Amino acid sequence: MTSSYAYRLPTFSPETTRNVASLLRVIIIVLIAAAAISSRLFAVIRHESVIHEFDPWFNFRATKVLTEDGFYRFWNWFDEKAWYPLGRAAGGTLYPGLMVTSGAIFHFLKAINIPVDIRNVCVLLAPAFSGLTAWATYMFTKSMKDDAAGLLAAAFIGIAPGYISRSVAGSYDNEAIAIFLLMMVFYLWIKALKDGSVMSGVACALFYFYMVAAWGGYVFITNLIPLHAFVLILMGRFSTRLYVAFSSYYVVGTLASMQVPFVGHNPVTTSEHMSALGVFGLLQLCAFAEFVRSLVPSQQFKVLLRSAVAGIFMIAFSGFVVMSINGKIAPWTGRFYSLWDTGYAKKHLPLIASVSEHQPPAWPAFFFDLEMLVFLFPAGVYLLFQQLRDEHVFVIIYAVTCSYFASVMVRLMLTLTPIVCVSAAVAISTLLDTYLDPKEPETREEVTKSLTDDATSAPATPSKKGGKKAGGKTASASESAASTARSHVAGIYGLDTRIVVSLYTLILLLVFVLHCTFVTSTAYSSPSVVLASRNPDGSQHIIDDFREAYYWLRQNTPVDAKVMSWWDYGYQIAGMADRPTLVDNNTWNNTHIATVGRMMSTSEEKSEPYLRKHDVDYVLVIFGGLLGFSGDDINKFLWMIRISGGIWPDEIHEVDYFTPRGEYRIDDAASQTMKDSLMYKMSYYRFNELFGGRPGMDRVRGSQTATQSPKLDILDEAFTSENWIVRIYQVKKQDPLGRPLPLANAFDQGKSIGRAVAGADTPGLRPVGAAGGKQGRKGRKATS
Amino acid sequence: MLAMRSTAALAALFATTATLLSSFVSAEPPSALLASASRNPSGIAHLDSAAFNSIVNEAAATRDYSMSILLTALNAPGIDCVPCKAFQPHYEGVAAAWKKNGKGWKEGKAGHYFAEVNFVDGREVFQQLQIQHAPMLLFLPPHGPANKGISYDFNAHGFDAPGVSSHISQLIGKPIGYKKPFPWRTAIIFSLTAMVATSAVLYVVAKVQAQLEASSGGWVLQLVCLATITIMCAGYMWNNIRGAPYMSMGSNGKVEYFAGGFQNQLGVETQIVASIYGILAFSLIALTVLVPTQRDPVKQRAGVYVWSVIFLGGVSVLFAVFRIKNPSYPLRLFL
Repeated sequence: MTSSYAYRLPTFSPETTRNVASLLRVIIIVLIAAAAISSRLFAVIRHESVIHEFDPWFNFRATKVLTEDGFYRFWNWFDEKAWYPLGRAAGGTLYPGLMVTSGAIFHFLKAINIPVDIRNVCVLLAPAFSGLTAWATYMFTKSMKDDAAGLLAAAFIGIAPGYISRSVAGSYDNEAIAIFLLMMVFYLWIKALKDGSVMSGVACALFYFYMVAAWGGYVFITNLIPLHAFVLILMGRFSTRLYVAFSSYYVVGTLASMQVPFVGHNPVTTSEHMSALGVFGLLQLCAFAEFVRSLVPSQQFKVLLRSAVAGIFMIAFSGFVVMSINGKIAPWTGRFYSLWDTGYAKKHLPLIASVSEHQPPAWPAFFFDLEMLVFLFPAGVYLLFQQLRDEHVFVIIYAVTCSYFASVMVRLMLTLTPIVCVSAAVAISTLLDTYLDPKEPETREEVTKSLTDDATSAPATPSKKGGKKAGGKTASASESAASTARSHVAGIYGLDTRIVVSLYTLILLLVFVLHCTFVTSTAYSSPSVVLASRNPDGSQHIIDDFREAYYWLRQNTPVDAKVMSWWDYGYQIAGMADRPTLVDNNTWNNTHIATVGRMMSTSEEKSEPYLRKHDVDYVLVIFGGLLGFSGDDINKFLWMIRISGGIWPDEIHEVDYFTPRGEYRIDDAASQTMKDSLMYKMSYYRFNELFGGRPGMDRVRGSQTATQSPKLDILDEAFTSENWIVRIYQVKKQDPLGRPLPLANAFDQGKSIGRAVAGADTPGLRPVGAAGGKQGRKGRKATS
Repeated sequence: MLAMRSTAALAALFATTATLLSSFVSAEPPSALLASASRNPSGIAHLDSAAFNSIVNEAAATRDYSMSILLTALNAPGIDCVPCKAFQPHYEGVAAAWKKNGKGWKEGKAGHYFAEVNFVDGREVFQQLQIQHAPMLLFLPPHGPANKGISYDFNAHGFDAPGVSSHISQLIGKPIGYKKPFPWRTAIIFSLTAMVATSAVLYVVAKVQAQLEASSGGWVLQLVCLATITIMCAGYMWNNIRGAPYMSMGSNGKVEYFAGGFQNQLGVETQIVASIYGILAFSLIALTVLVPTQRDPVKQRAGVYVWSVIFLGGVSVLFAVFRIKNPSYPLRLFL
């Protein structure tokens, strides 16, 4: 019966079909991996093979320690160049997974005689792992629906900007390998749950261990898998498969995770890990109850047993509450707590609230990172609801919790992206399944007709299976009609609808590719240590101020010169300039950071004693006013004030830095406290000279600067980069005659006609000052 | 001239308060502040310009207690000070706690007193202190003149009573002893809601479980999950955390539904975008699940085309809306 097919499929033997399909699968996966890797190489092609941003510089430095000094030195590494004068026990306070991975790759390549620079391994690690992530997502989605959905999901995750944002070449951060591990753990957890296999459970636990060693975000897994198990129990879906999978995962995974020094005993002492322990206990109770129930026939006893299980669970839970009140179990750390109580961080943890990646994203951020996936996401979740197998429950829980987390913190968009890709792939592949399937359903009249036919030729039905397999071509008309009527009640009629829907789905997929390419190339491929802009003629102009300044520090200052800067630049200074810093991106010591904030935000006289006590030789500030670089220190200044004001509320008041009308200004109307602050002075020192002594134009704040240029007494301008983005000041040595520096300066200026005498006063400082002047001229020339 | 008038007013004030107070307290020389404060149930002295002048400015030398003064604008014509109204009960709560806990409060020996100047009564005070915005909470140490006050930082410590209480406690070196009043109203509402919700949930769970056994998923649960996902992806928490306004008024008096800028949004934007997402997801579901079950070929074909038009139209609207937020975005579909 030809009318039941919208178009003809070529007929192959089932074996050929299977072979071709598996060959195609392999080719597609390889192509997806290639696309994933190559779309992350924009930064390398445009700029060069360079480590990006801030945190990666520390990871890179740690990797160098690992490869140059060996594993034991790395494991016990004490970094005396950071957090001067405290130092940092880096070996015990980092997640070693990333460094060990790239170290292993480096040594492997060396062993097979491929000479490669460790920097290139680090730069290309994230793209390489994104290929693996695509594969892991394929496996995960395959277990949710089928191969087709798996391939779509792999393609989505390969190019979705939400994931690319953290894994472009050079973004050598923990997340680079963590998303692969996340998907691997989830895939193996689903596999273990489906099969009830100890082996998959243990494999899941081992990948979990790798994840714990690689990223602090492992806590998400630690809570999500128990939540899944818990919901399954609540739904009455407790099974021996669940018991075996969770027990093997939890026991091995927890013991293994405690081997990471930074994690240590956290899995048994902190609240974040308690849910896993609780669910583990509950599973034991459930298993015991099931066991007893199977032996005891009495209905009353079963009720008693169930209430006993509930009772013991409640007692254990209240025990947990009591212990956390007594402080035996550490409460939720602020970082995690602020996910629930969103106002908490702003009030109590300004340091955490200040980090830009901890801000909530507005809706354009979701659309920018996910494009059409964002509306396919609920559709896919709905389709999974329709089947609701055990593994679908997992996806749903993941989707709901993570969409909340991503909505609170833009950083967690990264963990949301995989599940969005999986759900969207389910939605798209179901759509395509429906519209590409050549079988047409019977119309109502035909069904009734075929049913009457069927009734007459009833003895023929048992043989219909063979006919169906061969594509229905050889089967007799009545058999085919009967099988369609039973197995194919829903379907699409006609060819035109199929073509239209498939065509625009294809177009939407292509638009998605265009969107991803556009976003990746414009937004996520900037190394942020090297900036790019366009000349009037459209050619690219590279702004390399950061490296210029860091190399100046490296070549012109003593090896032990202490450099003070805001914590954002600590890792970069340590990595590129190789100089000790006071604070860095590790942010483990809030007070120390607040001290730096205080030195930056108070007047020269007030901060001088602290600068001397901390042996500060150079102060580095980032100033974007000339170029319009908005991520500069004046824009971050409010956070410095807030953080230091949190420690010294009597000395630093945020209000003082605003005008009486409550505005944050930098021109003549700025408050006196603002004008006196070290940060303001360092940023705008000599800025007006660029404009011939008239008030300059700050392109970030979009306002004029003060008419009166700031004067510095205790600092000397040492270096200013080409576009004025980085400005470095040297802390003057104390006056040899013991006068306070402002007095000495005033004295010098009074005698400035006799330069020879004044110059002899501070002989050591002249060359540096001269260098600064030269740089300043150079900057002016380049930008005018 | 002004000084003369104010001294006259002061004298008059003293006279009246003296006569007023002499009937109540006889031993201690009555203080105008205490008199005013005692009249108020929460123990806040309401000062007008004259009283402020006499108590704070001129009596500074003899004033051996510290003061908290709230400069606020309540019921002032033409000024709608929302934070003032919001802060008032908190301030009253703290003052009432001090009235109760401060030793020797009634005798004027508590060492610290709460006062308040409303803009309606004390316009001159605002002018004198050059205050442009309200509310402002000043702390005056003993003998301190008004312009040497320590102003309370609302941004850092918040508008809530505990923040104020701990700030003042720190300054006077004694605990205010403020305790959050037990929220009876909230508690009753909450417990009632909880009871209703629990019974509803129990009812729904029973229903849902019956449905779950038929492996189709409880529709309430589904709805809640899908709505959460959609709303969250439309930036709901941003509004919540940043306190975004629902809509805004443009320069020419037009209502604006979309805030300018990529990292900014209005409350209504979340609703618009969430409903676009919802329509798109639903039309996709309709295309995949609903349409194929239609057994009449003509109706089905019509369904496919209608839902396709809705779907593609929704996508192009979404692109257009996104280009409002990010004008440099190059992709578009029809619109």
